Formats: sequence, structure tokens, C-alpha cells
Amino acid sequence: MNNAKPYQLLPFRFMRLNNNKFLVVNEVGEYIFLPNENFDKLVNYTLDRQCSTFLDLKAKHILTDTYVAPAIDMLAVKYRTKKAFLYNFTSLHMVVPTLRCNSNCIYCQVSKKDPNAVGFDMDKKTARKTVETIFISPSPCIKIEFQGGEPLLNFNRLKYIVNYAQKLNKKHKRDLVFVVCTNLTLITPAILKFFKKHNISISTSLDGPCDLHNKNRPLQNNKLSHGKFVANLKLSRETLGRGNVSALMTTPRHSLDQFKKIIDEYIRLGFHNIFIRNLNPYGGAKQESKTIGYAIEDFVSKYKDALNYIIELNLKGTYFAESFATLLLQRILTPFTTGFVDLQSPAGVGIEGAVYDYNGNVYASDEGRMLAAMGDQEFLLGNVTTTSYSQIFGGDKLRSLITKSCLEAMPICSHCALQSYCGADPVRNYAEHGDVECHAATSNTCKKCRSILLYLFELIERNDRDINRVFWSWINRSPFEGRAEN
Amino acid sequence: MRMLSGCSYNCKKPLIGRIVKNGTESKYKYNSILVTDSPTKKAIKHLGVVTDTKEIDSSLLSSGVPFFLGVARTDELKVGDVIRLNPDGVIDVLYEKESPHNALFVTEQCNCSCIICPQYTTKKKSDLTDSVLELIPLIDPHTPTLNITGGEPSLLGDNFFKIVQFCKKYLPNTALQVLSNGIRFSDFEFTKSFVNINHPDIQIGIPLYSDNDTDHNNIVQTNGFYKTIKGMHNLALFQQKIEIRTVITALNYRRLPQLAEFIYRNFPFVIHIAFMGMETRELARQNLNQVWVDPYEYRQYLEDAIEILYLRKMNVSIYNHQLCILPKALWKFASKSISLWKNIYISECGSCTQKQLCGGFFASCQDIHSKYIHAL
Repeated sequence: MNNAKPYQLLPFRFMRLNNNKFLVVNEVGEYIFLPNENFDKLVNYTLDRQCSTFLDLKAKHILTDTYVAPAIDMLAVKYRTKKAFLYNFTSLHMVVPTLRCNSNCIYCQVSKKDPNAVGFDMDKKTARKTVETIFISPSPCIKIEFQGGEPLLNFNRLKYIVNYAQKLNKKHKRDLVFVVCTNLTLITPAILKFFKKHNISISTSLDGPCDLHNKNRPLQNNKLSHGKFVANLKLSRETLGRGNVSALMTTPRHSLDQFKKIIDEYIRLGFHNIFIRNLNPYGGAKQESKTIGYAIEDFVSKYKDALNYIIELNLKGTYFAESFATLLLQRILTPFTTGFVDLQSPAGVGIEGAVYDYNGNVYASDEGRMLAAMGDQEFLLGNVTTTSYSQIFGGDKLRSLITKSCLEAMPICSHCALQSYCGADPVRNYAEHGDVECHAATSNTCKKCRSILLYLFELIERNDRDINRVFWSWINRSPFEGRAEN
Repeated sequence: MRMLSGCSYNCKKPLIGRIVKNGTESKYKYNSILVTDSPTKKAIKHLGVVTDTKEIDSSLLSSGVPFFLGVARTDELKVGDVIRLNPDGVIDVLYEKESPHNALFVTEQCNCSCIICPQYTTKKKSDLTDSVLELIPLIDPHTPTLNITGGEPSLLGDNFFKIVQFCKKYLPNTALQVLSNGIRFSDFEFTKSFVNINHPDIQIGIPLYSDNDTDHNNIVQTNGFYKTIKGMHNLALFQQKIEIRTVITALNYRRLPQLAEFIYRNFPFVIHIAFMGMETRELARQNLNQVWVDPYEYRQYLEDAIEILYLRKMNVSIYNHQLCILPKALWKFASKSISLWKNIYISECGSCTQKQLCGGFFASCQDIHSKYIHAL
């Protein structure tokens, strides 16, 4: 008997989708749905080399019946492209000019301080050292994102940082951009003039229609924030242009049943996308989890309804995208890399983004800072005033974190069919389980990502021309061109 | 290429020159060939004379200047065109000033034997560099685009580079399109030398027939698939402009959508993809039974492939197809791609309202075309 195999398998991962079929994914995220029968034939080397499934698998480099080396070379090119987020090292630099805040959000994850508290502002020397540290990063793109607290409560320091960064950039010549994360309530024409002059964009928070937004995001003195938000949103857009003002939402328990209303409010206010985010287990959100928390399964179920609603809106002619789905679709459907610090492998902590707290402390991620505010300094990498760049970004702590956050080498994740689309968040893992490694079996992040990915695959498998067009309009960030002509 | 013929006198070797006519005799200072109804004494200051007249004054012939007499259709020759006068009386039109489809034909040699190839090619050495280098300085420097074709141009090696360098020198504002199977570019050093010419606007058009080596190699009749791919990746490393050209045949139409996805996954950097109807000359005609498929039969596959590439923001076109056999959704991708001298319309087209928009047929497809051609 001839034992030679008629073809050779190349690296792939797989999972059973239901009783009838498998999902097979290669190392670079190319996928194929296989009926049980074909999957069995594939792995038993009995698949007919003339059939279209065989050629599909071959074209996706899941197997080869001719040359191996050139197929591996092609995979290598695609693998480098997918992992290109690793090329540049840290590009996102989050800076906290103050921890004081005039908001009193029910889920505050950063343990903010009162507006008139003393000792929570970044001083000038720390600000200077922060900017100097940022510019040691080799990345050709530098994004400085002002977080808080409410960064506009220390606008002078913010201005100093922008001016000093631009001064240093005359020499460094990086692609330098600024984002201010603000609740918008303190915006003034003078501030907007400064933003305009320095090409600074705004990232704000909107939790839904008036009553919901006011309930989630009241101001410190119990004043309502929605009216001010809407007025200042208009003002900001007039000065900076629509594309330079974006918004994020957070979901406490009572928002779960309100996704439609929230989406409608985003559309009413002229936004073209929404990022439906579940609560993070930090700060107020953790303390108040009894009243505002929920099981991740409930979130996923409502998320799917919301996604269907958004798809319907698009099919009816409203261009509107959901950002998390867009990110995952980019990973599933395109050969390109995606920058999303919270879901990379190796993790993006430190090497893609880092946080500079008001006191000069540098954390591997914003969530690392949130944990620190709760008294746990596990993710403190150093301090800009006392620690060198190489100690902060090249030290044992960050190296160990990154080493422990490669899905490729993590139990369960290492053979998960969805690995190519997923990522590790060691800080979240630590907050959830006390361990930086991913515990897939009990991880809420895993449950969420897995469920949403599988739902997207369900929609992709339908191969519905209209839904495909909606998905690609999100990926391309350009309006849907209408239903296919028949 | 367009060809004319007449009776040659005094032509001992092939001569290349630019057309002038009465009233524009002094347009070119050198290498001018006069096209005229009635040659006079002034005619003999040109490199050669082409005329439809069959008889002329014998004193003109005794001047020693080459004369081509009794040439029909001289009205097809325009001022600024470049022609070659051959001793046997054949006149090759090497360059047409008014055509958007001019090509430098640099070799007949090819390392593939594509079963749908519409060009005569040979495995023997063939190098037309000398005449091409003579032609290039005569081409109008305002020419927007020029093809370099064969055979496989890259087989000329250093002479290929020399041709590109000549174009860069004499036609710095002309975009070049090299038609190559890409195999030579799998050699990194070769690609590097090519890129080092630093031509300001050059693009490589590379045929890719399938998403797998078995089908592709069957069509190109050589083990070229992975070398072509390596060539594309080498060119991409140097950020060269690459176009993928796919002729649709009976052997590859069923996997056009998969090919579209394959192109996007592996070559998202290509600047254009052309799905091309077959030109049924030479090998394509010899292999007709094996390769011909009525375009009407594959229209759904083509539409799916185009949808895949279009959604992915890839720049895609359809060449050599008639509008009446394409779904209307594909009309905006159809391009008038057939060179003027071989572009025809058939009797059904007479009453068609869309003829102006339609690319029509290759002359060679007069008798071989879709059964579903109809006036719109």
C-alpha cells in the first residue's frame, strides 16, 4: 500500500459550529465553512483533489498538493501584514493632565476626584518629562490622547503639553496628532480656537437620549449634562468639523434595554457610528456592580439585537456603523492589521499604548491606571521623573507582561479557531482572575468576543449581498451604496 | 500592428521614419517620410516617399531615394505616425500618433506558451531592441501612454532595461505599461536593477489566471505560478505599480470569484485588475475548442468577482466585452480596450443605441463571438 499522502495540511485551526459544519481558519485569518463530511475527508486525506472545496482550501493555503515552500512564503507575507501593528512600537500615548472631574458618572472607572480637590494635577516638570519620554518612542506616528478626570479642568497644562510636543516635533518630525477626551461641558469658543489651531480632535461620551445620559453622566453638583452636551457638540463641530468630534458610550444595566433609543439618539445628533461597550470591572463600575452590573451573556444578547437594528437602518439608507463589529469584520474580511490596544496578540499594553498619570506614573494601559487608583500598582512601569525610558519600556515588567499575553502560547486560545481575530488583555485578566494570563473558560472578555465573532460569522455565511455591502461600507468608512440590483 | 503595402523602389534595408504630408514637410528635421498623392522634386529631400500613385517621373526614382508606389489607404497614415519601410514593399505602422494603444514590440520570444495567447511567440532567441531604440526618439513626446510588449520583454535582460532607459530619456512624460508574465521578476536582483532605472511612471501588467498553481500553470503551459507571484511580491517590495490581467477562458471562469478574493488577500497592493475577453488569434484560435466559452455563460461569475473586488475598494475593469452580454450593473466597469486598428463592430451592432459606449470586438472575433450579441 502506498502511504504517501495525496496532499499536505498547512497550519489551521478549527471549531465545530453546529451539528452540520465546521469553521476552519488559517494562521492569517482566512476562513472557510466546511460540512462535516468534507472536514472529515480533509483531515483523513481523502478529499478529492479536483473538487472545488479542495481548490478553495488550497487557495487559502490550508493545504497544498504541490509545493510547500512557496505557499509558506505567501502565508509569511500575509502574517507580517496582519502583525504589522508590532512594527512601530508605542504610538498611543495617553496623558492625564488632572484627575479632577466635573462629572459624576455612575460607572466612573478611573476613580476621579472632585473639581476643587488639591494635588491631582500634573505639574509643569512632570508634563515636560512626559512629553520628552513620549518622543523617545521610535514610532513614526505619535498620538497624544488627553484623558482624565476632565482634562479641560487643567487646560493650561494641556496647552503646555501640546505646545511643547509640537516644539519637540520640529526636530523629531513624527506624524503627531492630539485627541482630547472630554465630557464637552467645559468647552468654550476660546478652547475650540486652540483645538482648531493645533489640529486637536475631540473624543466625547454620549450614553443616549436626555434622560439616560443625565442618569448615567450627571455633573458633580447634580446638574444635568445632556443639554450642555448637545449645545457644545454643535459648537465643537462648527469649529472643528464633523469628522473631528467622535463619541463613545458605556452600558450600565439599565441601558441594556435601551440600545435602540441610544442608537437613534446617536443618529439624531449626526453621528455615523457607535461603539457599544460593556462595563469594565474597574473603579465605580466594580464597586457598584450590584446595581449597574450584568451578566456578559445579557450584554451579548442585547448587542446582537442592536447590531441587527443597525444593519436594518443601513439597508433602509442610513449609513451608520457599530465600531466593535467593524473592528472584528476588518480582522475577518481583510488582510490588513488593525490597531486596537485592548485586543491584540501579543497584547498592546505598553508596546502599542501607554498611560502617563498626573503624577508621572507610567502604566501599561489605561486599565492599569484604573487598578492603581484602586490601590493595586501591578501595572506601574515607572515614573517619567525618576525612571528612564528604557527601564519603563524595556524593563522586566513589560517584557514579562507581553510574553504572557501571546494567544499563540496560551491554553485554550492556542488552538481556538477564532484566535486570528482575538487578542489578550492582561490587565483585564488580572482584574477578573488575579492572573495576567487568559483564562478562556471563565473569562467574560472571551465569552463576549467569541459570541460576537460567531454571530458575525453567522451573518457572513449567509452571503447576503446586501449585508455584505453594509459590512464593507463599515470597513471602508463610506456610505452603503444601496441594495443590489436584481 | 497596422500594415500597408506597395511597390518598393530604392529600398535596400528597412527604414524607420516619421510621416509628413504636403504643407507639413518641414515639421520634422530628420527621418521624415513624405506621404503624398503627387510627388514632386521636393520629395527627394525626405528619407522616403509613400504614394498611392502607381507611376511617377523616372527622374525622381533615379534620385536613389526610396519610393513606395501604389500604396492603398494612405489616408490611414497621419502626420507624426512612425512607419517602417521594408525592401519587400511592406509598410509597418509602428506608432500611431492619434491612437491611445501604442506598443513597443520588443521580442517574439516567450518563456510561457499560454494556450490563449493571441500573439505569435517563439522559444528561440528574438531581440528587436535595435529597431525599438531607433523608434523611441521618433515618438511624439506628448504621447500619454505606451505599452512595452512581446513575447516576454523581460527576457531581453539588459536590453529590456536599455529600452526603459531610452523611454525615460526621450519620453519622460509618457506612462509606460510593461506586459510581462512576471517570472523574471522573481529574481530579486533583476527586480532591483529594473527599479534602479527609476522611471517616473511605469506599470507592470501581469497575467494571473487562477487562484491555484494547477489551473494557472495549465493555461500558461509552464511551471510559472509561484514565480509570477514571487515576482509580484518583489515588485511590491519596491512599491512598483502592478496590474493583474486575467483572460477569461473555459478553463478558469468558474473560479473567478475565488480568484478575486485570492487577489485581495495576497496582492491588495495592485493598482488595477482587468478581466479580459479572449482575442482569438494564434494559439487561442488553435486551442479554441478547449478555451472558448461564451461570455454569456460566465456573466454571473464575472459579476460576483467584480462585486468582491469593488466592495474591497480594488480598482477593477472589464476589457474586450460587449455591453449587450454584460449585466447592466457591470457596464460602469467595461472599458473600450481594443486597439483602434483591430477594433470592429458586427452587423448586429448597426442598429444598437449603445454602440458609442461599447468596446466592440477584436477583428479576429468576427466569426467567434457570443451567441447572445444583440442590438440594444
